[in-house]
Amino acid sequence: MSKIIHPDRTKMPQPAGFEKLNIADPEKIILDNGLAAYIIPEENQEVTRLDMVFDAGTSFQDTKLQAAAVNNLLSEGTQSHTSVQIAEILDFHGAYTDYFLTKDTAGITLYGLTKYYDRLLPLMGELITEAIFPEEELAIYTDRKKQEYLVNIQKVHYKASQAFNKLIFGENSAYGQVAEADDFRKLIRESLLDFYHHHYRNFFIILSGKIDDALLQNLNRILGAIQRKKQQETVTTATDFVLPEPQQQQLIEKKEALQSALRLGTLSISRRHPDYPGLNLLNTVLGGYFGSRLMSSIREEKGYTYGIFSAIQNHRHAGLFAVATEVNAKYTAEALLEIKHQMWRLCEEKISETELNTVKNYVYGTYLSNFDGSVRLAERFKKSAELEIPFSFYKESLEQMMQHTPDDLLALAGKYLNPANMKTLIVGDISKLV
Amino acid sequence: MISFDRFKLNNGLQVLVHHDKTTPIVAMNILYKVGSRDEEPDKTGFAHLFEHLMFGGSVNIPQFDKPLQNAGGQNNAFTNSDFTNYYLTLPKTSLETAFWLESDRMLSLAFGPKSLDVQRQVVIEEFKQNYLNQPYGDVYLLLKPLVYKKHPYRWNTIGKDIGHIEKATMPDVKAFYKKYYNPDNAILCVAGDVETEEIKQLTEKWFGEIPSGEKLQHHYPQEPKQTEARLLTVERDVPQDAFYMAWHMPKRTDKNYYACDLLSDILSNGNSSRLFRRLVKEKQLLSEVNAYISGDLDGGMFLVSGKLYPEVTFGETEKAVMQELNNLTTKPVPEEELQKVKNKAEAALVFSEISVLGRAMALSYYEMLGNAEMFNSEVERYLNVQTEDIQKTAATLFQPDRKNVLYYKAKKKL
Repeated sequence: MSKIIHPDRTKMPQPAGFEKLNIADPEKIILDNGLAAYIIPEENQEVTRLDMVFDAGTSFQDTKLQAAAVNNLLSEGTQSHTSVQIAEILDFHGAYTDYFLTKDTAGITLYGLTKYYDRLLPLMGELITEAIFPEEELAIYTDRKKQEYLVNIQKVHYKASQAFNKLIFGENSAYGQVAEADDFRKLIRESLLDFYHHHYRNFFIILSGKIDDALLQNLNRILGAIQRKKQQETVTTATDFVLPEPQQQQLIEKKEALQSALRLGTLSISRRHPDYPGLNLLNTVLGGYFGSRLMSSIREEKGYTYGIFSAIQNHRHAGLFAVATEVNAKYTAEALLEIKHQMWRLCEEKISETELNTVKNYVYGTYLSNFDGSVRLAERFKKSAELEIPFSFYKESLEQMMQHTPDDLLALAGKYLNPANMKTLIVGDISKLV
Repeated sequence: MISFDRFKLNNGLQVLVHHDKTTPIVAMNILYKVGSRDEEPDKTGFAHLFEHLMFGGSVNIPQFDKPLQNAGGQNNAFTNSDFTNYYLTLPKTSLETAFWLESDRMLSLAFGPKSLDVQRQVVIEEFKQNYLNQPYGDVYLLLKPLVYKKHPYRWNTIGKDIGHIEKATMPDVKAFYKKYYNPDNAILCVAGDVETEEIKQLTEKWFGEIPSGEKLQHHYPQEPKQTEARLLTVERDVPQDAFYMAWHMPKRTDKNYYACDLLSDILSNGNSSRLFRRLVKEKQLLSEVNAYISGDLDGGMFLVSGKLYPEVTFGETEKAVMQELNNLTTKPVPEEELQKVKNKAEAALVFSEISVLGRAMALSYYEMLGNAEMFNSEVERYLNVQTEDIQKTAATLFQPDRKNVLYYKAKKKL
């Protein structure tokens, strides 16, 4: 029998000292047709992930839901295969597809066992070149999505996100447009085909996971043979992306809601701005992790909510900073005041070295974990390419964040987190709030 | 194939170690064999509330999260009917911090009254956010007592109602901790660029002095065989009618579990699945449809659910669903279709082991089922299912007098 040890439990066993974060740029190869493919290989795996990323996000559409419908219906029929046949091929090979859509980009992510890629790649090529958007599939899609929308719009958090997007970017701007119930019936096949032909030609590829020579040859043979058209510019001036509403506050009635959804935020700086790393660090302090000030105060101290967080949303032409939560309806006003108070504190009081160190360590640890493994690397790389920023930005911002002092953060908070500059939105039982 | 080493401390703590040289991250997973099935009928929701309290400070460490974040780590936890699972990841260089943190809260909690007060409120907000303030949010609150009459599965992990959570007292908390949060009721798994010898030393050092608990006797009231179909109809302020059908399925460790899982995939996994094709695409009765299993240790539910288009009746929906289910009991499933769902199951298992945390969680879970080695042979058990097994299982499962149906009606607007 081994001797029982009684360790000193009063002190943390060792101070944090981290391995250096190494983020290598993916290898870039050019296919026969000039398409760029970025390669992130990993051994000891049986899985490969393929991303195909197009400039086909919602900001490029001329009618609401156009970009989403095209993206979602890519797999609902091509010149060579029906919707059912496409589903059979994907399901038979145990493949998962994710049809993704942002304000800037859209595309397909495929997860599949590497051994089946010779059969999956031709289908992927077909979806992005030969989709036909059959009328009957469009009708089914529209009916289903309309029902889904009617359910979602009953949720306070969904309603809040939609309305807040309009409030911040402006409802007539490319970034601020939000679909309503009535928009579903307006979708027509011609407009889908038009968007597809204009926006699903130029793209880039990310291949990650298990990659061998045969796979690369197949990639070039299939996706490298696609004829590329010159992309047409649909949105030209930067002012189109954002047309802010003058309104500072919006209250939306949802009778009998047990919780209110709150949003506080403002337009923010872009990913390229020199202040971005510092703001990112500040955001972490305020609401970016479980130990954040908002979480500590509004959940762990007061018990008003199950969760509260703040985040910076990055888009190519604008950023959004926002605090989001759902709180006990009877503490709506108190929660709002406390959020503003926590912002104000960051503007007025210097953060302690201890707290700053915790946040730096936490951020460093999340970077190590977010860049661990080919799938995560692919995800990060995709995000940087979508935003059109160099991949090296991640490492550089991490280094900058590690250099920041309490004084820097105080100055940045004054610039970016003044509660007086935040727009406020509440979805809840408004009549009972006053 | 996931390789691992295992050893057990004298106090009964079962330890698993998985090596992966390629990652700078270490995952630590601790599974406690206690869930909502261990609760008293008048104190439901307790196991989950307790999970929250595990973050409220332990005997030597006032707050769990802060030092972990300081060490560059992240963590979370979940509770279900059968077990409670705590997991964290952190840079390999901070490995010992994980041992310090997890062992202290297994040694003793701080039992501060403030933590209980606040977490009761937080859990009530969680209850509202996920179950009450959402369209269709209360479905499981209605369904579980319809399906289970005797077994503790008749209440949800979140609790039967908010009242039970409000009533939780400090003596309840202490008694629950003393009974279940002991090394001999837990499985620890460490995965990452670590050596077994190193983990052995660290485990002895940090967990070795924690005393074992009283030997646990589990006597869960077993669910009697259902003999009559049950129907519950409710009306709510939602945009469309929805239906939920549930049958009792075998225990998680029963060999027919795998046929049930594949059956649910045949019915609704992917756009080529039967229910999706017939009811959503061809007949257009439903805007969405799902078939899934709950996989609980003592026998879960096989569920089929969907949302009806306006003008579609519950009667015609049920008839169409039953027709698909009857097809499975009367006709053998084609080889190619069976192969398809086996391929899907295989791919899902491979995808689940990509991250080091995924592997730590999987090993702990299979160890709870009986042996972590089962993870590596799990694919075989899916591949071994034959056409006849599918048909036989379907016939046993979908008996008319063992059906539980919930009609969730949209209130008509005046």
